[in-house]
Parts: sequence; structure tokens; C-alpha cells
Amino acid sequence: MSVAGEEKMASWKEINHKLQVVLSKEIDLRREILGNMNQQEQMLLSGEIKLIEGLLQELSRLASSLKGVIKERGTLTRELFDHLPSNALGATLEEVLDPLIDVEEETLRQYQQTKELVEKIHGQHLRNKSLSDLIQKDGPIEMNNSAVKAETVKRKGTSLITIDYPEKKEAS
Amino acid sequence: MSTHNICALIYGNQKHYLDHLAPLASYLSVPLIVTEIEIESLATKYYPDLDVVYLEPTSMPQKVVSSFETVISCLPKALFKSIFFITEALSQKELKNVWCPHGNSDKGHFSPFMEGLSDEKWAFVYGKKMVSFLKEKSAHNQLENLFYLGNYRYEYFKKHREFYQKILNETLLFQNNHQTLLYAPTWNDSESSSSFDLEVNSLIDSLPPHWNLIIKPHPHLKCEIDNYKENLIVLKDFPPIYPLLDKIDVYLGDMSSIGYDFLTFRRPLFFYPPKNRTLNYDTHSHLMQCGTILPPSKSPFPIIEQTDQTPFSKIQDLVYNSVFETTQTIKKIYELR
Repeated sequence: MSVAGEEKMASWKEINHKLQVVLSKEIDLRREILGNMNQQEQMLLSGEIKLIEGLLQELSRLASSLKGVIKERGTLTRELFDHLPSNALGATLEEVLDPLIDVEEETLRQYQQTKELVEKIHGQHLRNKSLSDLIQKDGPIEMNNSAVKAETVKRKGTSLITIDYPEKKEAS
Repeated sequence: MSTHNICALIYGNQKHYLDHLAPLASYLSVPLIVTEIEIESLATKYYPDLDVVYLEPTSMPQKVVSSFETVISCLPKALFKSIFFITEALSQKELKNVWCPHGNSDKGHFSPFMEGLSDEKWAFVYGKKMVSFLKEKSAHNQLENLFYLGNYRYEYFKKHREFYQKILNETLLFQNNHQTLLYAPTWNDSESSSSFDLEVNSLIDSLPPHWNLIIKPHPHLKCEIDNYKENLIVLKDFPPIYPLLDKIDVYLGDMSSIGYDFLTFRRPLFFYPPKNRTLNYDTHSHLMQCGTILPPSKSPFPIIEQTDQTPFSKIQDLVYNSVFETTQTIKKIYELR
């Protein structure tokens, strides 16, 4: 490999490492956000709605940090793309990183992890919102609410499944 | 009165012309004449360095004809003439109307709006893209003079950045530093371009607590939202667009020209799919190549957070450079005889 080629490779690795540090921060923050929203759901279910205020303040702090980290990730991703040939124009990060190369595999894994966390956070948000709407409409969920107390009804004994095969018709 | 015998004009309650004509009038040091008190008040509040003159609608034509030679407006010649025809005839004097665009949207390709410009003699354009649009609509060859604006509104904002920062701190009262999405739908014009009626409810419902949302409806759009969320602001009657774009992280729109303005910042763009258009075959939706088209009626936030913006950076450069000319020729209008 030429000197220029080696320098380019070293720079490519360095950006990957920097990106991994930022992605790792993003994963930690997103996990904390998910945990916070999960706790909000518990508070809504247990009727301790006043305690949610504290969680929302914490969430606000996390969201502010996330904004900065996302900007950092954007800058580094662009730097990564500057190393690519012009025919990579329009490709996504998932398409340009090779899972068989160690340094790229790690970036790719972390990148996909952030995407999964995004899905989970928005799923949790929708659950919290539905719950909150329900409480606004019908009042706090009471502990004697049949929906909260509901549990699986156990049957007596083991259920048997029988299969009756049709009798074979004798050839006439 | 202007030393150049030029003025800019907003006739009637056309608030959406203000952010286009006010910076231009300021740049050229010419007065902006308005015929509505509401517009005068908005212009005075939001545009520093601007000479705003209110004239009562019935006496305005006579005063303009007697004081000016050239009028810059967003009106095509036919509409302009309908306002000044009688006064011009009585005074034996013809005004020069220089048409100024109010945005660089992808509208007008399927409706006859731009053909209405085929009588213009003088026009401002942002850049090359608008020139080819005029050619396509047979509204270019008759032009005697064409003046390139470039991104003059962004320059106006940069010049008055401190003024706007102060105003925004008073207007945008988010108590946090979360990521902010701007949703700027256009209105339901003859091309049914607006996404507002179809999408606004699911957008608000799916707004998560770690995002802020600003909705800036087009002034012609009927927008009634019961705002019950701390992280949602509905911004009506706030004409200057660049100070707002400078503050936000992500843009969501439809066929509004604000998307082209947002290209200035090279940040993520998302779009609701336009009605009655097949994008694969629609070569006129240039802006939509610069971002991600969302599936209708779904929460955009997970998609916005998961989308890698890097692939759009080059196409954003290309489209921006085709829209906004780097060399401005605005002041050549002083030489108009």
C-alpha cells in the first residue's frame, strides 16, 4: 500500500473509532431515556402521577444531551463519507460499512443498536400516551379496576385435544 | 421618498409577500408601501432598517403614480394593471412593474400560474432554476431585464441576527434545549398541495416528550389547533422565516417553498408525499430529492431519528446552487430606464 493509501486507511479507522465513542454515548443516553419513559408508565399505572414531573425534568436533561450527541454523530458520519469514492453518493452508512472488517463491524453494530432503541422509545411513548389519554378520560386507574386485577384463569386439569379420524370407508 | 423613484408594494392583506418584499426594499433602500394596517404593523415589528409607508387603498394608486417610476411587487402584470390602469390613464404615465417571486416552490408546473408571467418585461429571479422554469412556461423571451436575487433574504437575516435572536427568545418559549422539528405546510391551492388536513393530528399525537414541534401554517391555511402540549408551538403571524430556520434542527413540509430556504443550512429535510403526484415520474419535485419522503399518516419521529442524512448532503449542494445564484445583480434595477 502507498503512503497516501496508508494515511487514508489510518484516518478511516480513526473516524470509525471517534464515531464509535459518540454512538456509545448515544446508546447510553437512549437507554436512559427509555428507562425514564418506562418508569413514567409505572407511575401512570400506580397512580403516582405527581412523581412524573421529576422524571420529565430528568428526561429534558437527557434530551438536551442527546441533541448535542446527534449533531456530533452527523459531523463524523459526513467525515466518513468524505473518504468514499464518488460512486458511493446516495449510499447509507449501513451500505458502506463492511461487517467483515472489525473496525467497521463495531460501528455498524452500534449504529443498528441506536436504531432499535429509537423504535423502542417511540413504542414506549405511544404506550404512555394511550395510558395518559385513558386517565384523562376516565380518571386515575383504580386498583379495583378489573383490567388491572385481571389474571389468567386456570382451568381444572389438563386440557385434552382429541382428534376423531373419520372411519375408513370400505371399498364396495 | 426614494432617491431612485422606486418603491415596493404589498396591495391588500397578502402577509406572505412581506418576507420577500421587506428584505428587498431594505436592501435597495426604497420604501415598502402597504395598504393594510395589519401588514404595516408586522413590517414595523419584524423588519429593522425598513421604511414602511401605509397608504389608504383608494388613494394609493394616485400617490404611487405621482411619486414613483418603478414598482416592485409580487403581482403579475395583469393584476398590477388592474390596480393602476385608471390612474395611469388619467396621469398619462405608465409605471414599470418589476415582478418579484415569493418563494421557489415546486408548484406551478401543473397549474397555469406561471404562464401569467408571460407579459412581464422586468423580473427578479433567485437563480438558474427559476430561469429555466420561466423558459418552460414561455415566460422568458419577452423579458427585457432580469435581476438575480441570490439568497438575499438569508443575507438580510445575517445582517440583523442579533435583532432576531432577541425576538425569538421572546416568541419561542420552549423551556428546554431539545431537538426541534418545524412543520411548515403550504395551503390548499389549485394543485391540492397541502398535507395539513391529512397529517396534522397524527403528527401532534405522536410528538414525543424529547422533541419540540413548531407548526408554521401558510397564512392562507385555516389552522385551528387546541394547543395542550408544552413542547408544541403554533406560530401564526410570524413572517420572517430565516431566523426560525436558523433555530430548528429538522424540517418537515410538503410543497412549501420554505424547504428550499432550509437548504441553506444543509440540515435534514422530510416531506409528506404530495397529493395527485407520482414522484418517480415527477421531475419537477426537485426539493424532495434532498430529503426523505414519509409514509402518510404515520408517526414521523421514529423515521426522522433513524434516517441517515449523509446521503443527501451532495444533492442538497447541487439543488441549492441551482436555486440561488451566487452573483447578485439586484442593484442593476437602479439603471432601469
